[in-house]
Amino acid sequence: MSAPILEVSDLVVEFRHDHGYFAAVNGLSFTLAKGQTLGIVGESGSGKSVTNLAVMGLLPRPPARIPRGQIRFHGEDLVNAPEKRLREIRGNRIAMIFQDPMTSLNPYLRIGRQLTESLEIHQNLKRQAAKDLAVHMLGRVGIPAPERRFDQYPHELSGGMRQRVMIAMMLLNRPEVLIADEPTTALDVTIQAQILDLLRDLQAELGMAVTLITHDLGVVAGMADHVIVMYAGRVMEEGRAIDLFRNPSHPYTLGLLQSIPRPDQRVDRLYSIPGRPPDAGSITQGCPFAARCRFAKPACTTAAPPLVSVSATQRSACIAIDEVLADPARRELVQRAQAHAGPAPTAGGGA
Amino acid sequence: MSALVSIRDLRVHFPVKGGRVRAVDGVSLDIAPGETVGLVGESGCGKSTTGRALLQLYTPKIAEITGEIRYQGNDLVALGKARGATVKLRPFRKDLQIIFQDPYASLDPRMTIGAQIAEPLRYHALVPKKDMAAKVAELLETVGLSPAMAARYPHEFSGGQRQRVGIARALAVSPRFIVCDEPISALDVSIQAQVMNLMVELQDKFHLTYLFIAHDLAAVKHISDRIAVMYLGQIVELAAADAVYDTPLHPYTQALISAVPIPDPSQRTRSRIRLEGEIPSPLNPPSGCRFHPRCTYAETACKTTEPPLTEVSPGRFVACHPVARGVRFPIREAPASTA
Ligand SMILES: Nc1ncnc2c1ncn2[C@@H]1O[C@H](COP(=O)(O)OP(=O)(O)OP(=O)(O)O)[C@@H](O)[C@H]1O
Ligand SMILES: Nc1ncnc2c1ncn2[C@@H]1O[C@H](COP(=O)(O)OP(=O)(O)OP(=O)(O)O)[C@@H](O)[C@H]1O
Ligand code: SF4
Ligand SMILES: [Mg+2]
Ligand SMILES: [Mg+2]
Repeated sequence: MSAPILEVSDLVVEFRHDHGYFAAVNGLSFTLAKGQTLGIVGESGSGKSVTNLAVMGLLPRPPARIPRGQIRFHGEDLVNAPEKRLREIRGNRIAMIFQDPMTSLNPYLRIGRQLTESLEIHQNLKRQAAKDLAVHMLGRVGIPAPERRFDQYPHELSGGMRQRVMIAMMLLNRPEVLIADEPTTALDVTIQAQILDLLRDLQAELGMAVTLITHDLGVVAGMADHVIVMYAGRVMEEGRAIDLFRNPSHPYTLGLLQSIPRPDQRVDRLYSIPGRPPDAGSITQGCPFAARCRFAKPACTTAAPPLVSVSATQRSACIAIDEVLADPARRELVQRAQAHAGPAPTAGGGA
Repeated sequence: MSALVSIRDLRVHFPVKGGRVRAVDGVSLDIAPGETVGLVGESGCGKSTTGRALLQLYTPKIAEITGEIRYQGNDLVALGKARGATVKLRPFRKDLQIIFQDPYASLDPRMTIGAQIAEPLRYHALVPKKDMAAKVAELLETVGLSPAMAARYPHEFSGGQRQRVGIARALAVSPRFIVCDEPISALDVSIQAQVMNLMVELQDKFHLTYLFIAHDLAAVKHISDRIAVMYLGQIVELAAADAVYDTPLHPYTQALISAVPIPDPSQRTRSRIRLEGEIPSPLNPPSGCRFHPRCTYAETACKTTEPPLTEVSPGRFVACHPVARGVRFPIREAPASTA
């Protein structure tokens, strides 16, 4: 694999809270190479957005602080980089599509202006050229009548259209790294498919690396080369996409896969992981999933289990992997997937 | 059975510079008490607008609304236009609730979560002051949040946590009908399952009725009794949830179902129906069948004559000329298994 563009190692992000700090991200590491797509899935509140805000240098500090860990972009440290340097990188070389489009769209500016502004600044384009490019990109993200939309304000667009305007805005800058935080959750599946195609095309065209945060396991399965599964600020499991779907090796991953509604069956109740996600800051030692885990042992609550290799391409942070692998519910899940789709392809990853 | 909510030829138009956005353009739908109707369709096709119009959330200044929305013998459209609309609609506000698509925009950043959940309870004078904290704690528990979170502000919550606050707030006043505008899309799949289970439980317990708007078709299929598919301001297919998912009849529904992503990396190459052609605009919808410029099966009549929503088999409605004549287009296999 080529040298990573982005390297996050042992990252800890803490927030100030009542008395003291709690870790929203707790010792997270991953790398991202040119042209690669990293999928991040996990519990709501597990630190996915916070991690990527840290990469963008957009964490409010305070209340946030980064007491430990590194974020390197082409080897350059971003954690301690001055704001001026971050501004050069942000939007231009690393761009982020936010979970909430309204945080990056200015409600008082027509969308056309918002699109062309960054082109004029970052790429030194003349007004008309910038407009042509922006209108073209609005068309590519599936906005109907792009010329007319150009003059509208964000509140006049549907939720999904705002999302696409933001996607267009980020892609116009042709960044090296695109962080996409739930980029398609607000979109219907046909437009979602179209946007994902566009992302793949631009990846091939520009060698863009993508971090894709999503709750939609179908989207992850379709896009990601490598996936990390997060829970309470930590990585529970990571591996190639095919590994996680065909060989889930952590109780939390297993619970997620079991929770997906199956259209071929009518059930009254869906499976869901028992219990409630931990309160921010309530876990200080041990495995954060222990309280909800049906495989938990006394040892699980004393020290956080490290990531250990399950195979050459997959790691799981669980001390009961053998039991997990032998679990009947897991076996059924894996067999069903295999029966439906045929044997797992040997070359995982890229589409 | 008589409907709880009965919509007749609903139109919601937004006047904008140089025209009008025909966001909802002739929707009719009966929703039975205790029923869940799923509402799906292309982004921008008018789902949220339909939901908001149902609750009369638009003032006449913003939107021109025509048609009828019958609830308990009253026409909410007429009441919304009447003098003193605020007072006249007030008795219905408690019964009809909405969970908003955008949990960021719908929460007040300066108020604690607890205060925001208590607000509708206070407004409708439903809980004595001394019991308020306990009620808020109970509601937070119900949606899987810790009661201790009541004292915190929205910016301290993740996207999914805020979404659950929105759900708690809608449930607070014991409504009869809830428009759920993408209530689960910001949640991880386990909490999605938990929230859907919760919604079903509450439905059984309180005989609730839902209009469930979402893009995740597997989830919509799971929770809905019937599914309505919208395209450019109109309903193009309406039938039992299984029928829509397993044997979609309208060409747009077929394209939609074929694009459902499958949680299995080995199925990346599955063929989907790609919709060609410009996505039309509700500012200037195409003549005839609104889907015709993108439809593989379009006939001459489709360009000129609008196909009415026709009952093609009992309980099964489709707005398509050939389908109404009995033609059935080949269906690609719906994504059956997940994981
Ligand atoms: N500004 C802040 N102040 C205090 N706590 C915060 C702040 N921002 C985030 N948090 C907390 O940090 C944790 C991680 O939040 P984050 O937004 O990264 O979750 P997430 O994994 O993106 O979840 P979701 O899938 O729901 O978007 C949560 O417990 C959240 O409450
Ligand atoms: N206040 C407004 N002024 C002008 N146009 C509006 C307004 N609100 C909505 N629209 C337009 O009405 C149409 C329908 O929007 P709506 O929000 O109902 O779509 P939706 O089906 O909910 O889409 P999504 O799935 O993206 O949320 C869109 O073309 C949108 O731009
Ligand atoms: S380490 Fe123990 S508690 Fe944690 S997930 Fe694995 S089995 Fe469960
Ligand atoms: Mg997030
Ligand atoms: Mg909407």
